Amino acid sequence: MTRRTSKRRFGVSKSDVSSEPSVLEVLTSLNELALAVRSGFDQRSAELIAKAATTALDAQAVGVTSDTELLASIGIDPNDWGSAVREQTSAVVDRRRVERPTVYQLSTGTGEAEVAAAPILSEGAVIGTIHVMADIGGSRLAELTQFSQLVSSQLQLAELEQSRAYAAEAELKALRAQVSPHFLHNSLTAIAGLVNTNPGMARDLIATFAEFLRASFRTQTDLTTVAEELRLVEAYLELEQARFGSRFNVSLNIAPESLPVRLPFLSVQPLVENAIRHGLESRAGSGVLKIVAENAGPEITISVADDGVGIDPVQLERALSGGDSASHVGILAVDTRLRSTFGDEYGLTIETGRNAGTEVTIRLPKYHPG
Amino acid sequence: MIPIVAVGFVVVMTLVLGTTGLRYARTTSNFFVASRTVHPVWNAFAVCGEAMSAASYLGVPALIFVFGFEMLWPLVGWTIGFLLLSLFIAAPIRRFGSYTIPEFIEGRLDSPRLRQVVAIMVIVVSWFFFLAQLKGAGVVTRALLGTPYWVGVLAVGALVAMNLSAGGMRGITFVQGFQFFFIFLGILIPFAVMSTVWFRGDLDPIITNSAPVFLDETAVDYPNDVSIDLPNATKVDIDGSVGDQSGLVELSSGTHEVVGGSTITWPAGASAPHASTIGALTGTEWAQPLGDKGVGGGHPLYFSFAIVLANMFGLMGLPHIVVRFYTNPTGREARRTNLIVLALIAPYYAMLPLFGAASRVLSPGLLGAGTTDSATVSVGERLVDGTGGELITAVVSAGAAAAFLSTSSGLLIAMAGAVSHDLMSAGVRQFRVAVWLVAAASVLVALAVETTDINVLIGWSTSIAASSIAPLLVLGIWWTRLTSNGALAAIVVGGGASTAAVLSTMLGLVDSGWPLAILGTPAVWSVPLAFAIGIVVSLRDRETVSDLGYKFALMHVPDRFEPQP
Repeated sequence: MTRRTSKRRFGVSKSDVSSEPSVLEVLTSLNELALAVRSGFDQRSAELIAKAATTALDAQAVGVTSDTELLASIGIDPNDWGSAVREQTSAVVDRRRVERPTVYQLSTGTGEAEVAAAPILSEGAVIGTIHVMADIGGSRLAELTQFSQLVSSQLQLAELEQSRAYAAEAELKALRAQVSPHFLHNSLTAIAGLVNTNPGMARDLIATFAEFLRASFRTQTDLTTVAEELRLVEAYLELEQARFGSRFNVSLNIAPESLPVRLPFLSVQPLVENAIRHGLESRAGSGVLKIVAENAGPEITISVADDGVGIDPVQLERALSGGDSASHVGILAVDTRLRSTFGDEYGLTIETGRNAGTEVTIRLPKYHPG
Repeated sequence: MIPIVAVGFVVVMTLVLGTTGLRYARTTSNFFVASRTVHPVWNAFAVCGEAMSAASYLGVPALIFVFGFEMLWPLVGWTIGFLLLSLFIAAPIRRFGSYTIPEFIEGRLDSPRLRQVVAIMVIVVSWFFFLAQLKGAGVVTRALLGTPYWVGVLAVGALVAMNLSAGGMRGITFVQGFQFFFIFLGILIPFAVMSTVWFRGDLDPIITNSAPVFLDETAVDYPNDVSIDLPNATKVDIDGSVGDQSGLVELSSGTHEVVGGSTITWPAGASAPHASTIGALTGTEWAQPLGDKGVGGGHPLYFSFAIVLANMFGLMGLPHIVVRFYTNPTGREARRTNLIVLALIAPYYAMLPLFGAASRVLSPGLLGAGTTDSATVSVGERLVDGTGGELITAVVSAGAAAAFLSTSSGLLIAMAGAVSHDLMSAGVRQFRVAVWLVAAASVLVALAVETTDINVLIGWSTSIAASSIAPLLVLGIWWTRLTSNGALAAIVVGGGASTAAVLSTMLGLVDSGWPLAILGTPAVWSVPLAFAIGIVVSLRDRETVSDLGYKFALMHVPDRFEPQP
């Protein structure tokens, strides 16, 4: 039986050649379907599912429904489906676990026709159905089952992508939360220490502190400009320096061409924090923190360097591969977010060695669509 | 000696400022200053530094020198171009957020394939423009040091490539801003001196009823083989050879073949010979607009329209100018920058013609030597004797060096970016490799265009830009119905037709009459053709562009509202 079908499908039988869709047509429509379904299950993707089902299953008519109503119809007028489609849809939805498609008779203006209905599943729940009007028989029902499973698995993929985006967002939130505890405590202690001796400076620092918090709690968009990010770094550094005093100096060299470039929010500040926390803080004597933003044609590079104690490359490797997650989470998160925003070639590079200081460099494209 | 020092100073400044950058802060209190965006005025200086190229600095005076008032049109076209840029392009393209033109087209029309096609057009347009800058470098170095043409071309090509690959873009906005001052002073100071000299009546009037004559006994260098037309028999001293003559001889009137490397000393009062490719004009003929001077195949009216169209649309589509607006933080600032540019560049353009006009009196020898492109840098020594003349030559040469260095950098960045970023989507290392490759290819070809006038090269560049990139920008920014197929058709047909027309004149397939006019200066038909093809194909195309409303809001809604997708 299978052999007969495959023969028909590939158009070997001469009598059928004209009406059979070619392999290319089937693959093309399946590909379109896969792409469309990626954006979720809606009116538009329902139409493409119907179109692909018509081609792939060689059907006279196809209807695609959500769990309650008809979304798309090809081959016959949407009204011709009548109330039967709704009844059959709820029947499929109620059955939940469906092994084989349901077959029912549909009376249209031109007469009776056989229709098979199969579910579209998402995370175990029926979110829609496909109704196919065709000569039911042979392997047709098995084909329909396969087709509906294909649609379901594509939807699953779409959800996976969605949840990956959520995960990245959660990561950003976690990163924000992670900046705070150390930093909030340190800043407040530093300010507290100044309240009596230097009230003016304490007041300024509280203002800066408030500004830093406001900037880091913003939720509108994930992307900011280098200029904005540097403002955040400035506030951060002022607070750190209040605590450290003259333990380190800052040297800046910022190409003005880099200022309007967009980058994920909180991409530079964690690098600066890392340089202070893991480089300069443990260093004897005063050190230098260097922030350089350079113009490089269609891209820019931003590097944050310190002449502190450096990081043991082996230990760093372990931290970055997730083994020792406690110490360099900030850098790791920046790396992840740069890659997920601009693509894998935009990861960060780290140059370091024991007692050799650390330099972290990120690359950013001047323009990124979307 | 002084001019060499001045040029050396410009070169060193370019290297030092470019590599170190200027924004530097030692403490957090300087942070704000160090991360402040560039003020529109300084940005305008930088745009001017980039836009004032060897084409205007050397090329336009040379054209006016040879052909007269007709050649004021390129300046008019460029000025209109900057106005159109302000009105229609600068702000929207900045708000869109794209850096290069190919990126804008890809973002606007969702077509990665189109981005590659546009990148190729960017390379073609910039490449002709770059050749002109290298030619200018060769000419100026020769006039200054007496070195062969190739020395200057090679030196500047290598210098610019080395500077860029060693990180010379770091402070490019500052460098180009400084270069602007050198360029502007290089024109302003000699202009002031020349005006004073003429107003005091110390020199002959420029417009007379005779062809140019040598005021004093003048030694003219002939770096290449050239055939000259001599109107009267003249006693000359030939160091080298003319035909088989040399030494003190009387050259008969008529055509003579001068061997490259010769120097001929012409007596005072002698009529200046012209290269056979240039028609001799009396002052009145020279000063007559739309006269029959053999320009544009002898169809001056057509030619005038073609030149204005090519230059105004061409300027809108010059890739190295459009990317400069990115440094502005907002669309509004981009437009302000461009208006300041207009205010700075208009007086610059207005001063240039005097250099061409004065050269007819001061250095008519260049007309026969085939070196009219060095007219600007020759003015100083002819105008004032001794140290004064040398000082003028120093400022002019420093300005010229600044002009071709800044523009060359911008063009090389645009081309290397198109190769590494748009065609290969690679990173900084590949960008540096691309800089060297593009520079090497350009230097090789620039060596072969020694006898092609700078403005012929620029004319080709602007004609192609006007018929390919400019229509795409205008339609892309202002017309919602443009589709990627329409844009592709416009750029292929417009860019292809104008490139083919340019190549046909470049290879000498047409040399006179209407064919030369139509193919040599194609903008009159190729610009409307590109627009028409783009519109017709888009209207017939059923494909639509996604997120059209958002994209147009992004480009056209004032900066203070941030459109969300």
